[in-house]
Amino acid sequence: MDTHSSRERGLTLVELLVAIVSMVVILGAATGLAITAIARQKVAFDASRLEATHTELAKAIFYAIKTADSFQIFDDASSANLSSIRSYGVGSSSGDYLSCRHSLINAGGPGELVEQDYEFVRTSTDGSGTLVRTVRFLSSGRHEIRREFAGVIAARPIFSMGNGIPQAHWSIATSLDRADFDVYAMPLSMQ
Amino acid sequence: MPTNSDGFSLIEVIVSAAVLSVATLGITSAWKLADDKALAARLDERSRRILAEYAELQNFAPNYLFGQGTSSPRTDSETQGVPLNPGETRNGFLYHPRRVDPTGRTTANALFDDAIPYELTLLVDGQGQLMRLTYRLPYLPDPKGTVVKEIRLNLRQ
Repeated sequence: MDTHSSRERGLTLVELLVAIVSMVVILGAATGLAITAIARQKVAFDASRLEATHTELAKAIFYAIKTADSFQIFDDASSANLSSIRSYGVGSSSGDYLSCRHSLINAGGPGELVEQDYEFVRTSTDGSGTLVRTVRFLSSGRHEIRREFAGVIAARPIFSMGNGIPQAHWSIATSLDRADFDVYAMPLSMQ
Repeated sequence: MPTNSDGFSLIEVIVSAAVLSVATLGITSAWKLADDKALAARLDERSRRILAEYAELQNFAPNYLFGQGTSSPRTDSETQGVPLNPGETRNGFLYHPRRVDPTGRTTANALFDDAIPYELTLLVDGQGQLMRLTYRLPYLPDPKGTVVKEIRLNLRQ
């Protein structure tokens, strides 16, 4: 009777060890699942965010060309720098630099000449680099607005006038896949 | 009473194993569902983008480009900037997943495969021109998995 009651008072060392090991295994598995789930969500989220950013960039390029009073494609920034405030320099049918100018009418004061430039800065020979968007206020001399879009892949010049239509083509490599972007935009002033 | 203290019965072990299996199955199913929905959302966004890009091209391409035959039915660089003619179809891929090296090695230049083909067709009906993009979701059987998106072209009738 004494032996029986002593067995009912608690767990043996072996039972306790087995319970602890089981709990550790289950907790380890649950933690592993949670970490994997978080990592997968982060990969998917990063990919979606990068694609959304470049979708926004594609729309910005589309509307910049569409609403431009004048625009020009240059081989690169060095040839674009030859432009003056009155007119663009000699352009190219395709290149890595696009400049669009807009005359904004201000009802309460003088108008503003705004230039939106898109420059693809190649960082390696495999065609990858960064697309830089710069908004310059040519009349008022306000500070320019600059934004960089990394992760761009373009083996050929991004901007071109293929078949007489201003267009841009590039790709991005997300952590999951590759997404292609094609922009066609006929300026309203040319329609 | 002593027999109960000896350990778990077979039924108890089977029930606990079944509960664990159901939980594991539920978690993996939820993951797969999340992946499928994310892929569907990505494909939806890309198909809308392609339709918008081609709508601009169809509406504003110079007239002399229409009627030109293209040597490739694919929407690759060869046909970039060339609008579709009525009845013409072009094919491409909506999804380019990263190629996974079976040996686990990573290369400097990432490689991508072509998956989930789409078909872009310019149709003419009584109301004018209609651009139709069709693709199939890989995780759903036909016809439920077939997605059709259309955009009407208003400017060039």
